Amino acid sequence: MARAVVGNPFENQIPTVAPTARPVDIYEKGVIKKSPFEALANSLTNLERKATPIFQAEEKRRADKEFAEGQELYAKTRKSIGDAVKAGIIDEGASPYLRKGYRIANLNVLSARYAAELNEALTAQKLYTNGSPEAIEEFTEKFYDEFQQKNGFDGFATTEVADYFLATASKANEAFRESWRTKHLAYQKDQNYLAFQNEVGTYVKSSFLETDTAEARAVKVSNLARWITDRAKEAGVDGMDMSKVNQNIIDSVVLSAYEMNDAGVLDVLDNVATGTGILGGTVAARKAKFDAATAIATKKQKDEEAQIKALESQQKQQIGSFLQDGLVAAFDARVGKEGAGDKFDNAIVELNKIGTTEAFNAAKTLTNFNDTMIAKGREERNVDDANFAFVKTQIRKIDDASEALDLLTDAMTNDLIDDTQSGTLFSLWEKLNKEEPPVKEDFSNPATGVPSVLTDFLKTVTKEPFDQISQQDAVIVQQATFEFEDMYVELAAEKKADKGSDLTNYEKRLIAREVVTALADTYVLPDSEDEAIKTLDDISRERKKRALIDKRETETGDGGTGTVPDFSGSGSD
Amino acid sequence: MCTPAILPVLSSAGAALTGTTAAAGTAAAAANAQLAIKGIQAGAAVFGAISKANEKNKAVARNAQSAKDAYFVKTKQANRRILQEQIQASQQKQDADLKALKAQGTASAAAAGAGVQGVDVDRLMDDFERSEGVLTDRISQRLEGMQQQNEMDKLAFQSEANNRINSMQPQSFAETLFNVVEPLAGFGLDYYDTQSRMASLEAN
Repeated sequence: MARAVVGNPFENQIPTVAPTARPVDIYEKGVIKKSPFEALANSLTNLERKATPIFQAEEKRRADKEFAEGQELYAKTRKSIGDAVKAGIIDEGASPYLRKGYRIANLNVLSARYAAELNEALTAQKLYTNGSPEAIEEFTEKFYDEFQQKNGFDGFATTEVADYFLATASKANEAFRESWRTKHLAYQKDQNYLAFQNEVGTYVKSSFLETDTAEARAVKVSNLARWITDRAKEAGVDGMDMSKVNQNIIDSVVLSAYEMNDAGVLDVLDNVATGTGILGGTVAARKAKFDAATAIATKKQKDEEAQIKALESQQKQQIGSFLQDGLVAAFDARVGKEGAGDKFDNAIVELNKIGTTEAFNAAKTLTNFNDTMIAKGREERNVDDANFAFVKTQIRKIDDASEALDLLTDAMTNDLIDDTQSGTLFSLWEKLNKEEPPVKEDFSNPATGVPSVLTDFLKTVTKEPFDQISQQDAVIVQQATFEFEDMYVELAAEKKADKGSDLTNYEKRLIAREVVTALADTYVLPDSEDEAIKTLDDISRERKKRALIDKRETETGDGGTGTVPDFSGSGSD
Repeated sequence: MCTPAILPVLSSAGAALTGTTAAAGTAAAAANAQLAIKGIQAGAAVFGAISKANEKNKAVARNAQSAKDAYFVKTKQANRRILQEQIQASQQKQDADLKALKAQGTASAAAAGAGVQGVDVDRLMDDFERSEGVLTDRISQRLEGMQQQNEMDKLAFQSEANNRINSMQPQSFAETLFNVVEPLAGFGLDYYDTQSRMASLEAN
């Protein structure tokens, strides 16, 4: 048996070690932990997207509101922003929108005012009469600077001025220049025509006189028309509008006719030659002539009417004045004032001089009134009694009986007294003059003492001095005198009859005093009596006082050396 | 179709909010209706925000749990595989030992039968043992490589789980709060805006 061969069982059976490692992914994505602030930020971001337009809209609304408030505030105050802050109208910390609105409103007003004032300056300062564009430019710049200084433009932002003022101001400046140019051209044209018109008017006015004869006027009209025709031709050569030149000639001549109030001046127009004919033949000239002639005639008529009215007014005024004088005189005559009759007669004469129906009627009315007043005055003033007293006064002065009768006859003839009064007065004359010497001499003979008694009595009748007594007091004095004399004559006759012989002066004086006593109750003023009583009392007291003094002096002299007066025996009041 | 019918109702609700009465069909009525709609929108947004936050947080929790479960299962399976590999390697080592012993026995028997002894037989025996050693060593090396890979795979599983967990973040309280506050504040702004606009239209 063969021996078994033993080989290595692991021959070619041992495996190699294969790689088992393989890459694995251990990547971990980084995680950012969310912060609460991130959430807050996100929320705020979301809210901000929404809130921003809302708050912007709100801001705009409030800005608009405050802006409008500012504008309204300016409209109310009309002060500059500086003055408004000083006055406390706007707080220094007030909303900028309000302040801006205030300033913008101010600027808007200023821009409008600038345009208006600039335009006004053109007319007010008559800048259009200045022909220099440079001067106008200079005026505009100066006006702009002065306007800004005057209105405190330093208080505005430059942008505000640019936005709200400059545009308007620039437009205003341009409008001003254009307006100046237009007005200046018109002014120059007007000046040319005005100069032409003035020249024609001057010649027309200086050519005619009111004293011109018809022939002289015809010559002047012809010469003047020829001169005007030549001037019109020259104006045409100078390029002036002939229609305006003709119209100026018409206006000038018509105006001169008005000024001279002479329609004949209009004849000049009929002799002025124009390019196609006579100027006076045109429709415009004919109408102007017709209107002027009518107006001048109307004016003359109105002047005459005015003169008539003025005369009537003057006459009316005179009538009124004289009527007034006459009425015053009539009233004066009623109370018997001296000179009233002459004044009344003068008024009647003046009224008759005026010569109008109204004046005659006024004179007639015044006469009737005066008659009535006189009649009334007679009644009121008892003219009959006054006449009687007048005649009575006169007859007391007459010594001769025939003269007394003549006086009474004249008085009766003049209706001053009637038959009965005449008899009474003659009886009075007889009483006064039948004795020898006549009783009436007692009133003028100082030896009797009667005149002094009468005078003293009459002084108690009036307060006023004799030489200054009024009419009323004079009547009273006269009446008192008459009554005194009458009673004296009666009483003296009785006393004489009782005595059987002539009365002595003493008895006459006693009779006079008796009469005065009897008349005192009637005529003496109570004040005079009171004062007399008071005076008597004063006199009595004065006498007692003097008696007492005399008594003391006597007692002191008798008392020896004593210095103390002895009152033991003296009475005292 | 329902807009005209509901507009007066909304306008009334908005008017109640703004205090502005306006006839239906006017601009103020439209503004009131808009405000009412925005109020309803704000309320819905608040409830939506709260509900969304709750749902999201629940989903995050579920996601995390699922990631964790997946990680656990994968790791367990990988470990189990390594264990199986270890058993296999052990069995292979045992087989190699048996094979070497068998070969040594056969060789010894053969040598004995042949009367051979000596160094050659010893060398043959050593050769058998050396070959077995090489084989088992390689088996061990392979197993060791697998174990190392397993460790790396577990790291990957962990990373995967973390990624999955992190992929859904829970909503914080602050975020939820602001999500609730935001629509309310927005409505407040709308209300304020409407009030202001209405007020601006009124005379002073």
